[in-house]
Amino acid sequence: MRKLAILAVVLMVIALAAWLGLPVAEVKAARPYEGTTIRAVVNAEYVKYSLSLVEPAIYDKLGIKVETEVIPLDPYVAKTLLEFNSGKSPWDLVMFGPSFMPDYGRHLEPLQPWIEKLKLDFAMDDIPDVYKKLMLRHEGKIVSMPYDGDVHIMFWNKAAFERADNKKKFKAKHGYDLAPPKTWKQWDDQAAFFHGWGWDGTDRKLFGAGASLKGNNYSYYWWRPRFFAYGGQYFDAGMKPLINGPAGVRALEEMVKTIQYYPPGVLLFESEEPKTMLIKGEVPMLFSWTSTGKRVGNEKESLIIGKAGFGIVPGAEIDGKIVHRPDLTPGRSMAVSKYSSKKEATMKVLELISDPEQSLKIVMDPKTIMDPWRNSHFKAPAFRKAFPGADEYLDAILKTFPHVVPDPILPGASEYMRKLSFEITEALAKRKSPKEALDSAAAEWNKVTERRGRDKQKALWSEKMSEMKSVGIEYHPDWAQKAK
Amino acid sequence: MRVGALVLPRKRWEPFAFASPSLVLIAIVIIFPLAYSFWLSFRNFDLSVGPESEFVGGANYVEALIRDSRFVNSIWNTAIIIGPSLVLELLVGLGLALLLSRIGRGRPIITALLAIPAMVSPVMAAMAWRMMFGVKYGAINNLGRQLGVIDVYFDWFSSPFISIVAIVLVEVWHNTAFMMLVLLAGLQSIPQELYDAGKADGAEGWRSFWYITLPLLKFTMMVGLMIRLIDLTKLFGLIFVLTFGGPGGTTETVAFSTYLAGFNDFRMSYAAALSYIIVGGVLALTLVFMWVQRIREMRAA
Repeated sequence: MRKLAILAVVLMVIALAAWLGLPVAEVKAARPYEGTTIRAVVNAEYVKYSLSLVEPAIYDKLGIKVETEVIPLDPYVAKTLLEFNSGKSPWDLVMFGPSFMPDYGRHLEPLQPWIEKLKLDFAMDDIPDVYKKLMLRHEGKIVSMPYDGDVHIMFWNKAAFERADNKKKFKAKHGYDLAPPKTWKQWDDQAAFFHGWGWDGTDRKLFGAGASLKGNNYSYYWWRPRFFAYGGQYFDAGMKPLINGPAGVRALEEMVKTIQYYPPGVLLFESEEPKTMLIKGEVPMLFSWTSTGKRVGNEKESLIIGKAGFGIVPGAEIDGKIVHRPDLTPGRSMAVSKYSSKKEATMKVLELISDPEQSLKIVMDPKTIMDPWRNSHFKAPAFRKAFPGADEYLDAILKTFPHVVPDPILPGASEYMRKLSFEITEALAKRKSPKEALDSAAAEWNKVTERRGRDKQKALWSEKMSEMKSVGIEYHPDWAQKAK
Repeated sequence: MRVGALVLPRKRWEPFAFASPSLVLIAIVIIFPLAYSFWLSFRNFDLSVGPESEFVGGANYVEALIRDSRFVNSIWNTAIIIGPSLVLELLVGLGLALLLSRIGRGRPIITALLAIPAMVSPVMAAMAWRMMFGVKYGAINNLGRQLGVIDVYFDWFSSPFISIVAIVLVEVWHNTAFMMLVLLAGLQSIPQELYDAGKADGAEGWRSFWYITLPLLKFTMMVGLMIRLIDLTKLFGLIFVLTFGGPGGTTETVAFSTYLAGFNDFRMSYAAALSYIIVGGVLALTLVFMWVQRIREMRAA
């Protein structure tokens, strides 16, 4: 009896110890990096906010805390590169625009060795080809994961296109049916048609279309889809700029003619001003970043929920077929700094924030302005029902992917783009003719190429040209004449 | 030779010893960056290329002054903004200072209220004015519509001329208070006896201003103008927020152009060279200003 009593006590003690001890062991297993803090750097408060959406999961699963530093967008690249060039970095997790990959790539840790070492799973099959082929690699090695899938799609207010009176008037004036534009010719006709009157049936003075034409790269992104649809390409194989050829000049001449139908102040508009005008029903159509769709569906601010259409950016009709060349803009990627002393923990964080479930939280939230980039984001039932028309919106992005054109991903990409953007605004402000402006931009591009070493740039451009060719983007000198 | 002969007498080294903390601080925060950026301006350091750089002699200076038409244009743009800004700040500042010098009661309060714009940071001032210049919802356009002068859709930054007018207006609003304070101090330092003597000789009103106030205020004016001139050559925050140099490059000032070279093109050496060109320009203008002033004083004497 006494032995039994002792045994019972021993068993109770073991049970109690197990009951007390097990959860601790479980938590330790679930938070293998408890006590670790990593530092991230991003270029806007809303990106910091987007990380905060997944920080609880990062802590629950890994035990890691993330401290995020925000450096404003404009000096971001210079300030981060300045740190990296010192051979050190105060940050472990680094956000950057993949268009600047040639500038950042050498400072980033390749992912493959860590994938093997830590058995990481970045669900690569769930990433669209356009990102896998054009945005993640440096010198052939994967060094980053997408964070914000930036492409341009077109948005329109159905009220403008479906009113019987508008249809009748438009057909009488232009001889074809009013419908969301498929070509740049139709876009320009419709912008002229809608400008200056209440196309929504009110007596308000409304505008023809929205645009962002500020000189710090925005005007360039609004010129580029026309330029490439008319057969343009950045350089030829010898790095001679092709931007001032017939395609570029035609694209800019059309923009100069159409700017009068855009809202006043458009030369200083960045991304959000025209989006606001779209959701407030002041412009009938806009092509812009895909995050616009989430603002369209945000009931707190949008007046066009359920009345908006989504589609691919207009193109040019070439030999009876419409060629679309929408923008693939820099977007945002996340990577691990080569100089980080916490690479393993940061790799685990990168894996978790790129995870289909966690990344969906980020791209679905309208306040983040982060755009969907995984195949599974587009299929997620919650996202497809997030607001009326969300399914159409996500399908429009998927339909756009096969046609997108990337930035000139070369060392000094920022300088090339900024010089061109500046000259485009010179033409839009009517300080230069389109041809003069593009000739000046081409001369500036040559200076940049010479300064950085023509042969070095030529070799890198040759790689990029092949990548672009592999997704169907080639130079067509005859298209500028043919395009309808 | 005795070692003691090499040692400086206490009276000679003591002042340096007391001043040494400040001298070290000045060397670290002022002299070193100046020397480093001057050294950098003769190299080709580019952030996107890497930390390595080569000596390129005066190539950056030659490029800026001969080949970079955009920078040369920015010099003209800066001059176009500086000219009317200085004139208006001087005239309005002088007017306000004269009014204030005649007010007896409440002068400190009114002066403090008028000085508020100068206390606001340029970026905050520019943000406020950007909203006021806003299309449709901006206060200025709405006031203009009430008065029947302009439409609410009037775009203040669409044309080169109007953009410059807008910048000058904001600049004058922001910095006239400084000129007013400097001139008010100058006015208060003019002895009342001179006015009394002038009055006895029949010099009142306009004549008193012309023959007493203005000559005695000239030096203060020159100092005020010189400080504002130096400050205006660094005009950046207002441009960054209000126009970002646009439309086209109409309002790109030298400081803004330098920022773009360094922070957008990552050409740190080139940006350093542009900075030294600006410093050289300001130094030359200041010397000319002082030289003209000295000649005038000598002639007057």
